[in-house]
Amino acid sequence: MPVIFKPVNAWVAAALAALFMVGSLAFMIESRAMILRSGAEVVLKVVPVDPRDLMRGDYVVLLYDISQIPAEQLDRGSEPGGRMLPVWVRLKPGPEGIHVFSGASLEKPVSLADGEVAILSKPGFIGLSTDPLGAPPPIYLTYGIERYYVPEGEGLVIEEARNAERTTVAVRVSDSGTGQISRLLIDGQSVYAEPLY
Amino acid sequence: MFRSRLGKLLDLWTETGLLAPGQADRLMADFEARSPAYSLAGVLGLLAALLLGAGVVVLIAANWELFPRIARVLLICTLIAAALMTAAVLQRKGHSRLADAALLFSVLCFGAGIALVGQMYHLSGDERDASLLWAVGGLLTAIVFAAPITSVLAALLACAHLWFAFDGDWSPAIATTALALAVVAALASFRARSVLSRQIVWVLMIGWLIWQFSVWEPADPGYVIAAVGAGLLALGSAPGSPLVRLVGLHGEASFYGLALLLSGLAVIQFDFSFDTVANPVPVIVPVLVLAVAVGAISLAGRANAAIRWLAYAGFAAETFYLATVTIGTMLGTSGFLLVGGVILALSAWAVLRLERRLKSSGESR
Repeated sequence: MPVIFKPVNAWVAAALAALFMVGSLAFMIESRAMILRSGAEVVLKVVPVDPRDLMRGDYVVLLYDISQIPAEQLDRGSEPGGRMLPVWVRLKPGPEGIHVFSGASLEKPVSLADGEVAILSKPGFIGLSTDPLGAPPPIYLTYGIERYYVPEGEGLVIEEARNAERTTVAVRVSDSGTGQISRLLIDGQSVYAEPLY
Repeated sequence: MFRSRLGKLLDLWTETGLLAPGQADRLMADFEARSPAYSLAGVLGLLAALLLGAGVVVLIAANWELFPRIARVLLICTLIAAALMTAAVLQRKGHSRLADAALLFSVLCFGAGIALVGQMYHLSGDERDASLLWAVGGLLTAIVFAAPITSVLAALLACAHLWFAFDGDWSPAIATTALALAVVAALASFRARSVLSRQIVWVLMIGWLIWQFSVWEPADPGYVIAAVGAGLLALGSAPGSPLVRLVGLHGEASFYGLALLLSGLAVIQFDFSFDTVANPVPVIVPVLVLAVAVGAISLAGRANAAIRWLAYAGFAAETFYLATVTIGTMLGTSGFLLVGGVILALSAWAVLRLERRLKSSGESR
C-alpha cells in the first residue's frame, strides 16, 4: 500500500486534530487578549455613516476620523504608489481625551512623541505620487476594528448614538500596530463590559 | 446508476447465452461486495452532523449573552474534542461513514469557534485569515482520518479561502499560501479517495491559475490560459507522462486541460469581438476552437465521455457564436460555415472507411 493511504491510528488522528483546532482557537484568543492587556490605549471619534447601510446582521459598522487620511499627509518615501499597501498612522492625544491624526508613513515610525501611538492599517490603495488630476484623492484605510458585534437586536441604540456623533471607541494598539477594540463608549460611558476573555 | 446498467447487461448476457444461468447472480453479488456499502445509518448520521453543525454556528452568531464568552469558548472546544473522540471510537469499530459524519461536525464547530473569537474581539476584515485557518483545520482532520466527506468540506473551505484571497490585494505570499492550500487539498482528496473532493481541487487549482494570469501583466490572460490548457491536455493524453500515471490516460487532466484551452480561446475571441464591425475576429480563432473540439473528440472522446460532451458543447457554442458574429463579411461567415460543414462531412466519410478497414483487418487476423 502506498504510504499516502497508510491509515493513522484513530486516537492519534483525533488527538492531532483536536490539538490543532483547540490550540489555534486558544492562540487566536490569547493573541487578542494580550493586546487588550498590554497594548497602548487610544480613544477614537466615530463618524456617522449612511444610515441605510448600517446594520448588517448583528454588528454595527464603525468608521473613524482616521478611516480616510489626506494623501498629501502620507510620507511615502520613494514609493511611487499605484498599489495596495499597509500604512502606519500616528495618533496624538487631542481635546477631551480623544486621539487625533498626527501623521502617516509607509515605514514604521522610528520614534514617537510623548503620548503618540502608531497603528498599522490593512493594505489600502495608495494612489500614484504623480497624480495627473492635480489634488490626489484621500486614502481610505481600514484597521480591522470596523465592526462592533452586539447581541441580536441590540444594535439600534448604538447606531443612533453613533449617528449623533456621541460614540467613541477605545482601542488598544500592540507594538506591531495591531488595533483591538477594548470598549465602545456612548457619551463617555462604556456600553458593554469587555472582559479579556 | 452503474449498478442498474450492469444488471441490465448481465440479464442480456444471460439471455444471449454469453453467461451460464446463475452466473449473473454471482457476478452481481461480487460487484455489491466490492462497491462501498450504502448505509442508511451513515447517511442519516451525516445529515444529523450537518444540522447540528449549522445549529452550533447559528447559536454562536446570535451572540447569546446568557453564557459568558469564556463558557461559550469552552463549550465549542468540548464539542470539538467530543466529536473527534466519537469519530475515533467509530473508526476503530469500522463504522467509517459515521466517523466521517462526526468529523464533519467537529470541523463545523471549529468554524463556529473561529467566528466566536472574531465576535469576542470585534475583528473585521479578517475573512482571508479566518478562512485559511478553518480550511487548514478541515484538511488536517480529513488527512489524519482519511475521511472522504470531511475532505469535501475541507476542499470547499480551501475554495472559500481562494475567493477571499482573490478578493483582496495580491502579493506573492498570499498567492503562495493559496497554492499550498490547494496542494494540501489534493493530498487530502487522494488520501481520502474522494472523487468529489478531487474534482473540487481541480476547480480550485484552475481558479488559482486564472487568478495569477489576471494579475500577471506580461501577457493577455486568454493566451496564457489557452497555452496552459493545451499543455495540460497534452500531458493528460500522452501515454507515459507522470500525470497519466496519477489520474489515468485521457482522464481528468485531459478534461480540465480541454476546459482551460477552450476558455482561453473564448477569452481571446471575446477580446477580438469587442467591436465586430471595425475589428472582425480573425478566421484563425474560430478555426482553432472547432479544430480543438474535433481533435479532442477523436483523441480522447472514446475513452472519456465527459471530454466528448465538453467538446460537443464547445463546438456547438462556437457554431452558435459564429452564426451571430461576422467574420469579414456576412458572406464570409456563411462561406466559413459551409466550408467547415463540408470538411467535417468529408472527414466523417473518411473515418467511417478507416474504421471499417480496421475492423475487417482485425477480423481476418
